Amino acid sequence: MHDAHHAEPTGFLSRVVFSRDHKVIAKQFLLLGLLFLGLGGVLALLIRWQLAFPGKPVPIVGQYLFSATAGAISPEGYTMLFTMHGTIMIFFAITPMLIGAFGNLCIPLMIGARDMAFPFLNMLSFWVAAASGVVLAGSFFVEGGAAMAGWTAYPPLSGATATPGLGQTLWAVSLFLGGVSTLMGAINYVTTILMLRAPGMGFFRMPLSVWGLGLAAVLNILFVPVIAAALLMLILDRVANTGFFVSGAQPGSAGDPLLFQHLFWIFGHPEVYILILPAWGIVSDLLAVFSRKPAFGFKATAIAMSSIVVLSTVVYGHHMYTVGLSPGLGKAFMSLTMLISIPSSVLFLNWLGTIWRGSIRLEPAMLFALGVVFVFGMGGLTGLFLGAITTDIYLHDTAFVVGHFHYTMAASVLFGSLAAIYFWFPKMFGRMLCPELARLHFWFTFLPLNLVFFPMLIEGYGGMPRRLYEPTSYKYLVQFQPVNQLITFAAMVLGLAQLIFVWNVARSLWAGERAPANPWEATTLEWLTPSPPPHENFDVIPDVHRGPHEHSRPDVPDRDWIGQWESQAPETPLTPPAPPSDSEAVAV
Amino acid sequence: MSDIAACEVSPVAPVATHGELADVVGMSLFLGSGAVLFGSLLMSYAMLRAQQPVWPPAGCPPPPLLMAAANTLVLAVSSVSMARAQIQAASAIRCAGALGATMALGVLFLVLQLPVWSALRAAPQFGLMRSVFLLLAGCHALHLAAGLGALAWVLPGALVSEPRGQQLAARVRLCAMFWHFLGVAWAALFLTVFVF
Repeated sequence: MHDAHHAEPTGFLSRVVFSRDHKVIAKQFLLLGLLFLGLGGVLALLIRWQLAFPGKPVPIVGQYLFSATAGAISPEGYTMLFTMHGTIMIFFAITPMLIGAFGNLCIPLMIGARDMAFPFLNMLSFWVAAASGVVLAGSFFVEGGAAMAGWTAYPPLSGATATPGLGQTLWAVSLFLGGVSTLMGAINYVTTILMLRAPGMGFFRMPLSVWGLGLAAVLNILFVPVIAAALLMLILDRVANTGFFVSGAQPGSAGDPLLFQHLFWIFGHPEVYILILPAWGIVSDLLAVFSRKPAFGFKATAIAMSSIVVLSTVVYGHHMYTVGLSPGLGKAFMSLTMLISIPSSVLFLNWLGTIWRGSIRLEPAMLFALGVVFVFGMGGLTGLFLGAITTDIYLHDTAFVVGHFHYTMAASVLFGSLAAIYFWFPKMFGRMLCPELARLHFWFTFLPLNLVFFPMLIEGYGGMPRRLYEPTSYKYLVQFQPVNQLITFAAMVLGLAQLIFVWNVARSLWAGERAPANPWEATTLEWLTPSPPPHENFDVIPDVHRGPHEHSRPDVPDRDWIGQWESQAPETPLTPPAPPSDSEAVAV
Repeated sequence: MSDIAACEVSPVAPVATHGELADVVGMSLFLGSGAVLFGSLLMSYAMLRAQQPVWPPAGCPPPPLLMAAANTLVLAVSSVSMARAQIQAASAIRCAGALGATMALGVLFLVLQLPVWSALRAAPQFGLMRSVFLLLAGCHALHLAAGLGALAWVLPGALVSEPRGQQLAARVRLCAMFWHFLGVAWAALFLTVFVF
C-alpha cells in the first residue's frame, strides 16, 4: 500500500495547506522555522540592548513594546525575553528548520523513496507543530505575559507560586505539543529509512545527511517522552495542585525540585545532539561535494556519529555538577563526557581530511559548511572546560556557558541550516539563489557572530553571570561594559545582515534563474530528479550502484562525479568509457 | 482453489506486504517511545518514594488494593479477548465480536477506575499518593481511551465496509500491539503503586 502510485491532489487545500507531500511539508516547516528565527532574533537584540545600555529606553520599538516603563526593559520583561528567546530558538526555529524542513526534504529524496512511510502522520506532525507555535506566540498576550522561568524552567521558579501567570502554563503546554509533533516526525523518519530505501541503498551507501537525521530521530523517539513526563508533572503541579516538584503543596506531599532537573537533562543533553547531528551529517556531505572528493573516512564518520548518540544518553549529569551530586557520580559523568571527545575528534578530523587537497569550490553552501567546522570546533573546545568538574564549578551559570552553547548549538546549527538552505534551495524551489548576495550574507554573518560569542567567553571567565539584568550593578563587572556594547553592536550587524538573506530568497522566488536538475554536480539521488521534483519524486525508483560521494574517480572520463544511480561511467564523444572491469575494481 | 488456500491460512495472519511491515515497525517505535514515557513516570515515582521515610507516607492509609486488583483482572481478560480477535481475523463476524468484547471490558476498566480515584481524592492526607495516582493512572487511562477510539474505528469496518481478510488482520494486529502494551504498562503500575 505504500509502494503504490497516488494521484497528485489538485485542490488548493490538499496541495498547499493540508498536503501530505513531504516536499510541501518541508517548505511549511522551513517557513515556520524562519518566522520564529526572526522573532527569536529580535528578542536576542532586545536582551543585548539591556546588557549594553541597562535601563535606557529601547530606540524605535521600545515605546510600543514597553510602554508601561517608558520604553525601558523591566526586570520581569528581561526575564521573559531570555526565557522566550531560548525556547523559541531551540524548539521553534532550529528544530523545524533542520529536522522538520530538511528531514522531510532529504530523507525520501536521498534514499530514493516516493514519500515518507506515513504521509498523513507527517502532515499531522506539521500542524501540531504549528499549533504549538501559536500557543507559544499567544502566551505573549496573556495577562502577566509569557513564561519567565528560563528555557530550562527549573522548579520552584516554574511552579505556581513563583510564576503564577498563565504564560508559564502555556509554555509547558506548547512544549508538550511540540514534543508530540517531533515524535510523529521521528517515528516517520526512522520507519522510512528502515523500510523505504531504494534497491541497492544499503546503510553504508546512505548519504551522511540521512545518517545524521536518522540518528537524531532515534534520539527523539527515546528522549522526547522523558521531557513529556517532566512537562506533564509540571503542568499538573501548576493546574491540579499536585506536589511533584514542590514540597508542602499538599499535606503529606514531599516533591523534589531536583527531579525536574534530572528529567530535563536526561532529555536535554541528547537534545543538543538531536539538533547538531543533522547539521553534522549535512556538513559531512557538503564538504565532500564542494571539495570534489569522497568524504574522508565515510564509514568512520557514520560510526562516530552513532557512538556519540550512544554516549549522549549517559552524560546528562554534567549539567548538574553544582546541585550537590555525589562526587563519585560527578566523576563518572565527567569521564563519560570526556569520552565523547574521541568520536567528536574522529568526526572533526574526517572533515579536515575531506577538504585536504580537495578541488574546493567556495560556493555559498560550502562557505557555511566551513563555518560550521570552525564554530563547532570552538564550541567543542570550550565544552571541555564545562565537562570537567573543577573548571565547571567556576564557570557554571556564567556568560562562558552562554558563549559555549551558542557556538555549539546556535552557531553551528544556524550555519548548518543556512548551508542546507543554500544547497537545497534550487531543489526545493526550482530557482537559483544569487551567489554574490549569499557570500555577502556569509561574511556579514560569520564575522559578527564571532564578535558576539567570543567576547562572552571572556566575560564569563571574568565572572559575569548569565541571565543578569543589570551588569553595572556589580563593581567588578563595570570594566566589561565596553565589551557588552561591542557584542551588542556586532549583534545588530548580525541581525541586519539577515535582511540580505531575506532579500535574496524573495528575489530568487520572484525572478531567480531556473535551477537545473543537478546544479552542484553532486552524486546523491535527489539530484537525479528535476528541480523541483515532481509529485512522488521519481518516475522510476532508481537502482543504487555506489556510495554517496564518488567524486574525481580516475576511471570516469570528463567529469569529476558519478551519480549513485549510474551503473557505469557515462559514455562521452571525446573519451572512450573505461572498461567495466576497471570500474568494478575501483568501486570495491 | 482459493477457498482451500484460505482454509489453510494460519490462524494469526502473517505480515504480508512491505507496507504492513512498515506499519508494524512504526507501531513498534511508537510503543518503544511509550515505554520510555511510562518508564520516566515510574522512575520519578520511585525517586519521590525513595525520599520518604515510610511508605505509604505517614498518615496515609494504604491504597485500595482490592479495587485495583479488579481493574487488573478486567484488563487481563480484555487482552485475552483482543488476542482472540487477532486469531479470528479471517472471520469478520467473530473478529468483530471479540473486538466488541474487548471494547466493553476496556470501558468497564475505565469505570472501575472511578472508585479508586474517588477513594484517593476523598482523603486529603493522601498527598503524594494522590499525585502519583493522578499522574500514572491518568496517563494510562488517556492512552486506553485512545485505544478504545482506535477499536471503535476498526470495529464497524470489520462488519460493513470493504476491509476483509488481510487488511482487517493488519488493522487488528496494530490495535492488539497497542492494547497489550497498555496491559503491560498497567501491570507495572499495579505492582509498584498498589502491591509493593
